[in-house]
Amino acid sequence: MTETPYLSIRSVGKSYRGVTALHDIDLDVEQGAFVALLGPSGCGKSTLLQILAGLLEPDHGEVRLAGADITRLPPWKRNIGLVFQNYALFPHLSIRQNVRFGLDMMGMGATEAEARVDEALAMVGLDPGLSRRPDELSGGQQQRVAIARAIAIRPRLLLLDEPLSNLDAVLRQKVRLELRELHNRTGITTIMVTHDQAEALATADRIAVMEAGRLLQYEAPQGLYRNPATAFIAGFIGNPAANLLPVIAHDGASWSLPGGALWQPDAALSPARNGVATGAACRMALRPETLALGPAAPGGLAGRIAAVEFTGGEHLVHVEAGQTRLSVRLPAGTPIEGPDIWLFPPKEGPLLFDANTGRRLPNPN
Amino acid sequence: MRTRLSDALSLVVVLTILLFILAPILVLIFSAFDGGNIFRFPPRFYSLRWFEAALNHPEYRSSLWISTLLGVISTLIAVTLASLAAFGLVRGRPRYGLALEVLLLAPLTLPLVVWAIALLSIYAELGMNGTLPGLILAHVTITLPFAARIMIATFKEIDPRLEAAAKSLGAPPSAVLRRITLPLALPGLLSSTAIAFLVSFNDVVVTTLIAGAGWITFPVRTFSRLRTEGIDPTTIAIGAMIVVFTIVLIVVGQRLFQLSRRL
Ligand SMILES: Nc1ncnc2c1ncn2[C@@H]1O[C@H](COP(=O)(O)OP(=O)(O)O)[C@@H](O)[C@H]1O
Ligand SMILES: [Mg+2]
Repeated sequence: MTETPYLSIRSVGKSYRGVTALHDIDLDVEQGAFVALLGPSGCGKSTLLQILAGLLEPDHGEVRLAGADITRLPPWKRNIGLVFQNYALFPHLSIRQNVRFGLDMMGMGATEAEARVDEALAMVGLDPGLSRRPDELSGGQQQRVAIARAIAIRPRLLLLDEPLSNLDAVLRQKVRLELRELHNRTGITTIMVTHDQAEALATADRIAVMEAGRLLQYEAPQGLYRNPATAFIAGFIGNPAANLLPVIAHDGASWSLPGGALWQPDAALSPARNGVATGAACRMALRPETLALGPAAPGGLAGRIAAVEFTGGEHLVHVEAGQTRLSVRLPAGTPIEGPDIWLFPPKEGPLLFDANTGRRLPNPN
Repeated sequence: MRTRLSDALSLVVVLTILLFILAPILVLIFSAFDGGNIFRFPPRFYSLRWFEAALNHPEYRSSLWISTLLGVISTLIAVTLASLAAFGLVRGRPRYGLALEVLLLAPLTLPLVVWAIALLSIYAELGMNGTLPGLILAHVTITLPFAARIMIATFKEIDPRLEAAAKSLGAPPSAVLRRITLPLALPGLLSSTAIAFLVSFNDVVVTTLIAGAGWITFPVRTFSRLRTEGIDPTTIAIGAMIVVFTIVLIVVGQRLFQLSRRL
């Protein structure tokens, strides 16, 4: 048997009055890891987080923390820090009283508690002399207070529910870096819920991708990017995410595209080489940063430039190919000759997904 | 120019309306300070003799005492029950919560006389007519909906995530109640206490029918004296004191807790 994980979630399920919010979730988290729960709104991320915090009881399944079964342990006995999306600061208490709340609950003496409050406030970059009420602070400051309050109790687990979504775009980038640095300094095992893939890629050691109450893939950011398990993930991860080209195997060498046009790609990308039977429908994920543009040549896809966006370091080219639209990222300064152009996918093992199940088809070789 | 003129005009209109509404009360307060033996307005000479008489009048004293006792006890019971019911409705979200809420507030929609008659017939069965417990229960019945309405609004305004956050910080339910829920509900609790007390203190209809001769509350006493002896300066003095007391209560309540927003 391998070493038991720090946090382990075993076939945890939950429904709300007949609607299933979570199907049998299995997830292990190592001590000291920073894990992101990533998925679109309504996929059950908050539900899972609340089960970990003890605020919701799962219908079935088991949650173990540091070797002990905590599935039915009430939240106040868990020592798990929780930061809500709206921060949930106690409006009738001062900032320091908010941060001290959990320490008072432990029955910690005043001197020690005050020192811990100072430490926690300093940790999130707030002035410990802050004697104001929560509603006198900006959104960013309130969020720091909420984090300080959660880490002051030195939790066994820190849970963050969409911690950045109430901040403006500039602040969001800054705070996500700070969250990661805070984690590096404290080493607290952290689980962050987010629907923003860039946020998850930038901060987490591992990302658990969820869709409609199921865990689709649990992987380090780079692995997730390189080897998405489903078409949904491929179409979700990356900026912009992968293009998903609907293709049907016409014969062993060529694909038919929406609208009926035939495409005979490089041999590595052919149906035969990838074990796709003639007539089978697939989706081919083409990452915008791996596509090249050029004049007509074998293996290319004919297209027409619809628009070019300049984003500073690069160009984002939108190409109409038959009835689909693909985006291509090119370094700034690349000459782009249009409007008629040919698209060239990389000549190695493509990302192919079953059109019906969305599952990744096994790579040959 | 025009805006200044219309501003002035609307000010005049507002003041006139206020004067129209408040005039009787001003008359009452002024005449309470009159030294004569009958009701006069404006007063001829000022004196505090009627205030003194009112405070020494044995019947009024006992009625005021009964009203206060009844008000305090029934308010405490009504606010406690209303708070528990409201907390259960808002936080427990029972299956037929909305129906329960409507039922709880329903008494507000029925004329008090209907309640009085209903209570009267039930009490007659139980032999509770004219007893203090019967009277207290009746007052709880008429004040509870007011208190419940305020407490439901109060608890709905408290974000349940605050309670959840407190739990995650190690607070068991009793500590969450003491340190988070109650402090946040305090303005609502004070508002509903004030309103319930005023409703109880003001009631004539239900009390007249239920109380019998033993427990004559202040408004009932005043009402009957008005009918038998006409306007008596003692009554006026007491009326003036109650008006001032009520105004102070409401001004303080408005200042501290914005009472009017909770109604
Ligand atoms: N208290 C609740 N009652 C009923 N349904 C709920 C409740 N909370 C969440 N849900 C449903 O459960 C699903 C998952 O919700 P949630 O965990 O909040 O998703 P996420 O945080 O990923 O947006 C959604 O379909 C949501 O509508
Ligand atoms: Mg959520």
